[in-house]
Amino acid sequence: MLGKKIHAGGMKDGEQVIELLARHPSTSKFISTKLARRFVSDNPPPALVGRMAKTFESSDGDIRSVLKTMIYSPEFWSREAYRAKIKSPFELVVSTVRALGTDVDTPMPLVQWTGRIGEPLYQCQPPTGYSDKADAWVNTGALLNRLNFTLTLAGNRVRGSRSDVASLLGMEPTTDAKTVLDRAVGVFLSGQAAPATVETLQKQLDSPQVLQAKLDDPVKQVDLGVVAGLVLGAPEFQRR
Amino acid sequence: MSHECCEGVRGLKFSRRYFLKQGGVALVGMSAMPAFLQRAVAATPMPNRKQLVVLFQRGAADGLNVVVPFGESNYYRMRPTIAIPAPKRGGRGSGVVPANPELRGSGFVLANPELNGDAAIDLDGFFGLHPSLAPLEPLFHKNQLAIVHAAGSPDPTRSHFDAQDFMESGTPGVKATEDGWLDRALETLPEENVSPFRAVAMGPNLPRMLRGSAGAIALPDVRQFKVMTQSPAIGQMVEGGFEAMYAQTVDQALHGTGTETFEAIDLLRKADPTKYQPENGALYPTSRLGQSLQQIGQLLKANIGVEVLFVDCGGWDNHVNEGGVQGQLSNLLKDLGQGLAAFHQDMGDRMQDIVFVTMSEFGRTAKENGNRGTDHGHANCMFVMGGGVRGGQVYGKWPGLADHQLNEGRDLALTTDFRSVLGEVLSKHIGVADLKPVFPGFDNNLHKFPGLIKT
Repeated sequence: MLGKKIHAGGMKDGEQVIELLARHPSTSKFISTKLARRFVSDNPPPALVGRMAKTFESSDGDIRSVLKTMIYSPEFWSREAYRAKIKSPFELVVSTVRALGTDVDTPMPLVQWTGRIGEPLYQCQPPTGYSDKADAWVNTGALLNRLNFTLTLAGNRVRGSRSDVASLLGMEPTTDAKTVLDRAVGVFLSGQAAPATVETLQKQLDSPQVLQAKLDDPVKQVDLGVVAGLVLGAPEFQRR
Repeated sequence: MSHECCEGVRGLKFSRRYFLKQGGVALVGMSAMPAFLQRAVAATPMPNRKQLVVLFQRGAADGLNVVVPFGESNYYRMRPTIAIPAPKRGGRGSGVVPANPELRGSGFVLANPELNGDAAIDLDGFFGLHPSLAPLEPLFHKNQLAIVHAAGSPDPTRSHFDAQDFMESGTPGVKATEDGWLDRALETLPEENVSPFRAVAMGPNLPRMLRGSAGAIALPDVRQFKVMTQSPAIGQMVEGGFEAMYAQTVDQALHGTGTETFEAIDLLRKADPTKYQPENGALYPTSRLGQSLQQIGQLLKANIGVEVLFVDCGGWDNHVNEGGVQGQLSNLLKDLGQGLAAFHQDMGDRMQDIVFVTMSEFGRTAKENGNRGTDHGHANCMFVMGGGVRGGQVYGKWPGLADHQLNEGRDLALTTDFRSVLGEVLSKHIGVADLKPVFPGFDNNLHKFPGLIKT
């Protein structure tokens, strides 16, 4: 076994093998890479992984210490690591439900949407589990389903789920489209949308379809579900 | 179908992927083009290429009950309760019996319906189809269907996961391969004017074999490939909003995928594949597989530049109560046989340009187990269907089922590497000039391939 003779006898044989594997240098690197990929970026800086692996070895495989090394590292707080991760389908569904303050009576339709976006829950065939990298989740069909999910959920068209966008955004019947958008960007994207995104959204909001009412109506009511769906479908919301 | 929208710009040659791959710089170039021209580029008619459909039977299909070696007495010895009886006029246990050609196709199967369905359907006097695959018999005898027996991956693993992984990566035994063989095959082909629908997988996820840089679309349902809103007017506005946001984002990954997505939505809306009804009296099963096959047919008819299509088909892991002439396997085969036959019928003359290949991660044990099922085995059979196929033959060297002939003493031994079947289809049908990058480390010698594609 890895160049070492095991002859402890009985169960001790197995224990020695596990010991050998746990202390193998590849193990510290493998586990550190997985953690850094999960919490920092798809391709984590090798220097960071190296320091985490060192902690793993010196702390006898204490994951808490390894995570501390990661969290107190400059790489963790760097500009490059900020919103570097694309949300997995599950993360997208959950974060959309949370952002909308959705009241969920029947979770099954949400589970089905998670599958449609590409992550059928508990149905991953390989024992290695679902991927922690963006390229597994970002493809044409999946992106369209992400957008359709946010639109459908925000429009209250998912069975067993209800969101009250109006009270979430603190809307009055007279609130104008510009204010709706500002509040939606503030609430859903923490105000951190690229100027191009906001500009695009503003243009769309001028279209008569959003302002449900006829053009000559004195008060133009905004279709809040559509606005929320649009803002939640922004590229900024796809990252965590 | 003609693309009226782009009559004026037919001569333009833009590689869409060139723009996408160049990222921001190319975006500037693309933005400088008027919008209608950008659309036109996306919709420029694709060169009429050949098409390949790959079906994966997940779970390891029992090849010995799919294409039955009724001429081998060992088969009946090892499968006391689940064996498929020999055809009424075949020769059970008598070795290779040359069947009377006059009986073929018009023989007992069609003329004597009372005998139909309870025995294997004779193919060549030695092999027979499971009776539930009756719809495929005429295709075999019209030389549209070839079968390769004792084929598969040479890796000895009995793990579904590892075996599927190897058959999709195209590198048996090598775990580190990141992309799939079908993706690499596409990468070897010219990219000029390729469609966003160049490679399509029917389902919510891209299969391993299509993963990689060539790009492919996972399409659970053709009818739902659009922005879903309550009214078309809102849909248009919302789609425009999403499209603009993703076109302008500095997020590289999302920008590329976003551009492809809206291009694809636009192309599909114009082509409207759902308007194509099954032709020539084709009747697809109402199952998920049947519906996927029907939609594959629609995508092909819509002329949107589809080159490779993938469809999954699960449920083959029959450890318990597999059944014989009837039962679990029989039901799966009914669905598969009707589906393939309907597809062939629906496609009509288009079959000249299409090759349809089936594969499964490994076969099953030659002996049935104590639960009237079979366990994980080794070699299996593959179907290859199409106008360009030299059908009507069961290819491959038959290794025999005597105890000493079995792989590890339990399963059908392997005599044809699946890569030689796929390699032949890729090189002779799709036009892959160099198979080395597709199947690295494999002896891609065309002369050693089965010879099942016409040249």
